Amino acid sequence: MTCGRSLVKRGLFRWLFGLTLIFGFLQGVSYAHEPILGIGPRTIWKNGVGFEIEGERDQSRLNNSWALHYEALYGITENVAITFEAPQFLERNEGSLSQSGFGDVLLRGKWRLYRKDIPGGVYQASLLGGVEFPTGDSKSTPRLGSGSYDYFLGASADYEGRTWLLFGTARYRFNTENDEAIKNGNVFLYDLALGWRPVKTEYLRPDWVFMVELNGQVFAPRKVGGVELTQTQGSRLFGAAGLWLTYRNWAFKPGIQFPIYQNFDVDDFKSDYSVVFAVEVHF
Amino acid sequence: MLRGVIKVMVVMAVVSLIAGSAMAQTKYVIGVDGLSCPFCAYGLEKKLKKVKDIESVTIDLNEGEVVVIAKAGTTIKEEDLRKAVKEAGFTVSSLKVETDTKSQESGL
Repeated sequence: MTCGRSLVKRGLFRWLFGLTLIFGFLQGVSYAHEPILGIGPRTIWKNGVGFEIEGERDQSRLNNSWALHYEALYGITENVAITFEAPQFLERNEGSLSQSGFGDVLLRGKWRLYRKDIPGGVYQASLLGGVEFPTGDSKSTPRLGSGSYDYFLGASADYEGRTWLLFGTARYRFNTENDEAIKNGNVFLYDLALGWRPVKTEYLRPDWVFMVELNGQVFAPRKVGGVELTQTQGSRLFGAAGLWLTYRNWAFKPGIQFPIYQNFDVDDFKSDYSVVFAVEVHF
Repeated sequence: MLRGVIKVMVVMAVVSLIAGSAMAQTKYVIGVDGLSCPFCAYGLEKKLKKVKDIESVTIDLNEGEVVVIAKAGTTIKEEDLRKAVKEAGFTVSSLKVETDTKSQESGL
């Protein structure tokens, strides 16, 4: 029992920050025609290749991080795409403790199983799935990785027109237990996003789309040694605002996310804000 | 001598006619559904430019159409154009073919 309590305490405090920020990375890096803090249903053309670098700043009470996400995208067909993502923490701070290095890499697939093209627009829906590999250091303080293989499944649908864009996505993340008998709680994520293009720009002109989003997360409790830490469960809802600025095959995407509602027993799980800026290019 | 001059002129006229028809350019006007934004249209440009004998690709988002000009004296298979649009992630709604004859200065 003493061993169990020690394990629980160690699990709670060593993962306190991890829950807040690791799950912040659940959103993944977005492709240009996706919500800036979420995922959309669009793929890339057959044999198309895309690269993206996203800078991210997260602030959560006394904890914060600066990170870069590197992403490579490939179109197997015009309706099936795979994405590889590697996060690099430039700085991850938990109180006075700091760590840097690569986190858990992610391999994600997207299958667009429905597409209805109309003049000047499209309705589409995709199934999403991915696996996160335990490549980040899970023994450091603060941790850079979960130490476990984690998976997600989801679906996304949108309407994209010349003026308005509307997205809706739902995902479920299944976390497994690592070698320290710590299992992060599973997470349900949902996103709604609305985009507005004020000017119907022509091809080979800079194109602007303003985005507003709602990003929600519902956390099941974490388990340590099979014991549920009920104070680690909770939910939160974020608002976000961002911009797509694109020119031909280049995209620039700044965005900011702020909490609207957070329901956690422990304050340290609560987020203050996140800021992102991404540059993406397709070939 | 006059017969010789006439013969030369006839040969040159025939050559000019042949050269003129060889310089005809074919234009394909493709109606494309799903073209909602410039960034996603790039894939369409990329795919079409890989089709053989294409000289130029012009995308008009507001009209929802792409104008493809074939190299002079060549034609493009319509199924190649349709395949390129499909693999770019769009749908062909219409396809019109126009032939535009260019005359070449023959020097006469």
